[in-house]
Amino acid sequence: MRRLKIIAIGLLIFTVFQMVALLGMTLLMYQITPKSVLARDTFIGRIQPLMLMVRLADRSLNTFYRGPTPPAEVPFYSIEIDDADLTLLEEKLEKLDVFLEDDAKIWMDITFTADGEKYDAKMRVRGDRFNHWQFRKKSWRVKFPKDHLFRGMREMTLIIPEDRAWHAEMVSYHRAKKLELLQPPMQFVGVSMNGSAPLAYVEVEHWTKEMLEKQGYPGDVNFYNPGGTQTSTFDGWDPLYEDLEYSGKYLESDISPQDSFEQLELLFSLEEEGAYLEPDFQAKVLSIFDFDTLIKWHAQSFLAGNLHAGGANMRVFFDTSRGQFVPVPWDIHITTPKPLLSQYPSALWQNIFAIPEWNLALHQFLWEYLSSEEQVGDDLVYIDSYREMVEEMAYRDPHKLLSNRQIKNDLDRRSRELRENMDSLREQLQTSELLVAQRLPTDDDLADGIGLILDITMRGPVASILTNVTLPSEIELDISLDGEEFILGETLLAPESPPVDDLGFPTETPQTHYLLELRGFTITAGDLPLPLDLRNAVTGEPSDVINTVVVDDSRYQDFVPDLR
Amino acid sequence: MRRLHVILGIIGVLIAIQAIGMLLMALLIYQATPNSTLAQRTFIGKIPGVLSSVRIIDRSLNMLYRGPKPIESLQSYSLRVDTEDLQNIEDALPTELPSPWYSNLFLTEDAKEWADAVFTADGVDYNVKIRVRGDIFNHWAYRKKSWRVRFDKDQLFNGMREMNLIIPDDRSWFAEPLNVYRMKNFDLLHPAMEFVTVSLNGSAPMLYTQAEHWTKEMFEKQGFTGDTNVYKTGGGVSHFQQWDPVFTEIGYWDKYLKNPNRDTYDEVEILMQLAEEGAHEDPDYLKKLKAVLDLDDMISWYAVSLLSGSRHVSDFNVRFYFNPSSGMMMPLPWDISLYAPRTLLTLPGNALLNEIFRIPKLKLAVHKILWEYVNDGEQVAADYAERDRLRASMERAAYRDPLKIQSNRQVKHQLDTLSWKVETNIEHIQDELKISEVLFTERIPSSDDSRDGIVRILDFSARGVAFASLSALALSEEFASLAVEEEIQLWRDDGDGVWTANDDRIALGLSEKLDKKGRTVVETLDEDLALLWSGDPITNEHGAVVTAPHTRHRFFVVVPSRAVDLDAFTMKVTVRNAVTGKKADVIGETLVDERTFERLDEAYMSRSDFLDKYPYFLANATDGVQLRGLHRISETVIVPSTVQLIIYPGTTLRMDPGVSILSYAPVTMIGYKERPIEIKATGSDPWGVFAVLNASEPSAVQWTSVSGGSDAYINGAFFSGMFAFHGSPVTIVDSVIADAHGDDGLNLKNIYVDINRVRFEANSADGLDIDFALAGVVENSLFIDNGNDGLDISGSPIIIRNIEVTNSGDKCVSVGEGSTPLIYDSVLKGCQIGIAVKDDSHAKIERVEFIDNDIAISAYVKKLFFGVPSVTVIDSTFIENGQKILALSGAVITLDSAE
Repeated sequence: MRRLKIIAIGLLIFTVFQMVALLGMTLLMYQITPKSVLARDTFIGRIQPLMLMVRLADRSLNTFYRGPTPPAEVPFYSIEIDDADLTLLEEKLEKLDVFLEDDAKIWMDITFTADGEKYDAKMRVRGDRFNHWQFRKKSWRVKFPKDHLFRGMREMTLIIPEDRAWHAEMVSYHRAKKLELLQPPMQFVGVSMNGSAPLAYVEVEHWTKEMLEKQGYPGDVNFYNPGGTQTSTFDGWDPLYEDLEYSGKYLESDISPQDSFEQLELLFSLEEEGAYLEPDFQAKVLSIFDFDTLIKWHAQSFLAGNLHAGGANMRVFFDTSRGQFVPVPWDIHITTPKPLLSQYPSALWQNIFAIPEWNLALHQFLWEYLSSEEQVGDDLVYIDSYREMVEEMAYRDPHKLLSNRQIKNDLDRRSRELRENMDSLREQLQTSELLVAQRLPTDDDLADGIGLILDITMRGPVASILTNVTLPSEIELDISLDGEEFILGETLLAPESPPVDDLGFPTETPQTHYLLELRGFTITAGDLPLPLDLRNAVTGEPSDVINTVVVDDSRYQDFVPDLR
Repeated sequence: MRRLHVILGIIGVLIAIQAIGMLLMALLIYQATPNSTLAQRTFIGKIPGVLSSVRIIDRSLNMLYRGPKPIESLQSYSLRVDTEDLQNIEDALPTELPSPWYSNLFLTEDAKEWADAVFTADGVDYNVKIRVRGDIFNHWAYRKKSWRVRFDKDQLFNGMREMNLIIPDDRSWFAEPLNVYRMKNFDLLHPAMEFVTVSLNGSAPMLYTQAEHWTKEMFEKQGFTGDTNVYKTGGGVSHFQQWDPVFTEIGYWDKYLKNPNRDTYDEVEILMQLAEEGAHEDPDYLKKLKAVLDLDDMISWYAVSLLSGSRHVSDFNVRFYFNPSSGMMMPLPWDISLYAPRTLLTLPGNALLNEIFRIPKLKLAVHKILWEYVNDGEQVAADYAERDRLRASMERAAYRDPLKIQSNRQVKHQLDTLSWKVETNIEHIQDELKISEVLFTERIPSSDDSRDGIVRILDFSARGVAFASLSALALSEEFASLAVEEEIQLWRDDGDGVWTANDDRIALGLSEKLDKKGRTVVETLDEDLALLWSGDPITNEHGAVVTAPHTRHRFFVVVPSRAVDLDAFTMKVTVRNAVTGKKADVIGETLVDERTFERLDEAYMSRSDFLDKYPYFLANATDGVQLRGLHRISETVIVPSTVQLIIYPGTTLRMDPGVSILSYAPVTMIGYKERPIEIKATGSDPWGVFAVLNASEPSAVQWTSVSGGSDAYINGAFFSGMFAFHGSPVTIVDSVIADAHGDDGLNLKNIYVDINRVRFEANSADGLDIDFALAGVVENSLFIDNGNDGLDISGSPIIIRNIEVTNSGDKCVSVGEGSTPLIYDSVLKGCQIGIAVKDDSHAKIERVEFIDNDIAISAYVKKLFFGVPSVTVIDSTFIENGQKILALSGAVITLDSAE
């Protein structure tokens, strides 16, 4: 009997062990198999009740999440809308797949209430992708009567905050304001729909004449909408840089004689591949952009991972009083830190910052920002405070798609990404890698007066400058690069853009060669290598010279000509 | 004991749960992992018997599949081969890849072992030779093989010297015979193809697809000579590549038949040239094609291929017959197969076809044939009937075939899928050819172009699928005479973007009918020149279309005989689907005014270029340019940012009507009291503006008089002030701004303001307009008899002191849009409103005299999106005003110590 007991207990232990192993396998399978495959190709996707149960179990823990008290009062609005209108809207939306179509952009009458004042407004869903409108909680556009504006707003947008990476977008908004970039007013708000508990939203004033004029810009401008979705049979997102005709306008200028698009065409000309190689590229850019604004515009995106601000999210208008484009940072989002040498997210930035001096200016701006305790400290404060503004409300939001566990994970992740991007950028901006070969000239080079060749391979990610060459004796040094004068402490040794993969990540480090010809002296191998003072052009600190070698090009010149 | 039961019960439950868990996990792995991966990369494929057991289970259900009774019985043959010979054939077959570069076992020449056999049909025995055929292993690596059967010269079978017996699954069962049926409809040369059954050494009948081989006899039976070159391509020649890149080297080509008198490859040499990448760009390409290729057959070949969604007409399935009677090569369609549809934008599949159908006319011809075919109800019904007949003729035989590799479940699934593909391809073509997407930009030409007579430039981007056609232009009544009197011309650009003699003029015909809006319509009469074709799409490495093409086409609308008002000229363009004749989908339409930025490059031109362009400017010693003396300015001058402009004392600029000076560089205009600088109109008509834009260095103006100008729109910037400094700091003293005809006499935007001792007089609207100043002072100045406001400020925190404003048409001083001025020691006199403070502005007024105004001080909200304004008045005087204060919209006016 005892033996039977021992066997039974042994079997039980073994079975439990197997059960644990099975659970482990299940977890492994869950982690290594893409969710889309699980949902589409396996039985998992066909047992909705099971999925529902998992979700319910997840949501049953919602009550355990409370969140901090917001540091300031969150504005609260109430929206009353006819159920029949909502039903009609849902019927339209059910027919859609991924992208919002005009047919579903139906304006519905609502009563909007704020601070006890009621507004007879109109409202429709907004947002190109399904996440804005396919689920119970939707993103909205609200339009107020001309003669009864809400806080001076003609139109506002209420966006589900997870689409804007929660507080990450607010931090980018805050940075844009610090950098004096034009931004539509943006804040977290709570909105009660037909008496519901407050739903968390990001409120943004829409691209209206009123929004611009309130901020000191002319409202009578062409404000460009860079394209939409499903214009064509073939493409979901319009290939907007292929042709001008995909673009539209949020606002039209009455000043130009026609409702025309030559301003945008001019902008597109700067975005063509290799445009930066045109001789008048820089002058053209400077004539239609304010350079400081350009730098700040890209820097603000860089601080948030530099992922999302190009292409369809580019918002610009042409300010006829300045004769220049004014960018409006929009939907910056946030991502994990990327290599500094990653491809920039818009063709415009790729061309503009292919100019080494301008790219350096961008890096220097970022370095200055990230080296400023005041700036970084302020960002860190706002990362926390913006999170606190939304966290409790998000947990209490009864219509949200995500569970509180998922929201907390997302909030933690966004906070982490915001910090990591600053740390990563700061670290990368301190890296300027070089390889140096000091070459004794061939007889032909000597005959040309060349005393030494500095063969510098620039790997980046940031540029270097050569500030000093220590010679054995005092002489007047003449340095040239590609036949042009090389100015110590000034001429940039910048890395070229490396090849990138489909996601824009560099697939290899650039190896950009600079051959500096030093004239005015002769030198022997014994005196080499000469001490060089190579400095990171951004930080001013010594560059990372990976190695310095000496090569005597004259040694094999008679046997292997043109070796170098 | 009970406890033991409980423990055993728990163990039992756990085991049951585990069993379910294991089963679900196994199912999950099966569903989430590609079957090929499971079979080839995991231990599953290595467990003896697992896969074969699965197959056996599958095949055990074969008996449940019967198939319909065939309408007509299939021809049946018997083949008897010595088993030793069969073994020799088997032994000669490859068992390894020819080289690591091959992805399949491949039938090489040394494996083509001929054996003697006896072929019996209809009771007659034929002594034949047979060998396996087919490049890829599926034809011969299994028990059922594809065969080539060669009959004796003296005992042909049904007139055939050689026949192929092909495993029918390789030819997509009934799909290839359906292709052959379509080839007949298109009069393409092809050997007959039918289903037969073959018993090999007494086996049960196996289903085969029979096709006569490319023999002299086959061609001659179809009325073509057999003494000619019949070319073939294939693979397995090189160590490095399974399929020969036949259009790269002539050496990859071979022949089925040779011209007995001339065994050369001249015809292929020509094809190779015509297949070179970019060859179609040769202006004579079409002529060359017509000289060597039967283009009707090529078009038909491609059409048949597209009806089957084919992606199989690659290099290795190319067959050509040289027809000596016509001197042209005829394509021999072969092994087209049947695929799920894909967009017609996809390139045809081999270098020659790709090049040929880059000729828009030829591709359009294919699309038109297809459109006609798929919209011919009778033809489509006949296709479906033939598909069903072919399937019915072979289905039962296929199920009963004992040696086929598939199970009957798999066969049925394949047949069902193929039936669906036949229909879905036709429906796909019907749908796709209705798509003709075009993007359209209408351009108002630059001044230079308009002087040449161009009134519009029309740019189209054609995206396909079907080509479009610029079919008509409709002109409004005002310009109808241009059409009626045939003054309007339409030219197609030759690709250089400019209108030159090399462009082609498109004949236009006046339509008898007006369009729905009553516009006069002219129609294009040349289909070729009006065609908006689409070129190659962007594809991925597999040839799949990633993005539709954007093929540019430009046309010029020209009226050479008279000047046309470009702003008033309007026209409506009609674009049609060139295949269906319906309206094309113009998915995007924009207007571009090329005049706007036509002079932008002058904003940054070099000093020397500037001086060359305007020789009346002189170089000075500091890299700048200068003006002195008396000048009549008859064209708008743009001073680039690369120089600094100095205008010397005593200089007078007489400006012609509408003419402006715009400087991107700072300007120094310092005159003397006795020798002021004057900028004024040549006559009575107003000139434009004198403006400085985005010059970061400061400008200076003193003893300068500016009068008689208006406003201007230059390089995208609008200047409402006759004298304007936008984003360009300036100090203006001791000057006169008078008689402006635009919105403002002087307009300062986005700068620090420094105005002292300036008289603003008799300007038609505002005397001085300050927008969004950073800070600054307006002082000691006079504003006299201006038509609207004397001084209008927006968004500006400035100081205004010791000014006198008299007799302004509207307000002496207008303060708006968040301005916060301090105004003191001034006189505001004789205006409708002495000072109006609006829209979230907050003004402080001290020691100001308000005399004889209708309303002395008014405060209100004008733009509803601003907050309420406020005014604080201290120590000020009110004399003979109609009304002292008027506060509206909740505005607050505070009077303190006022009289």
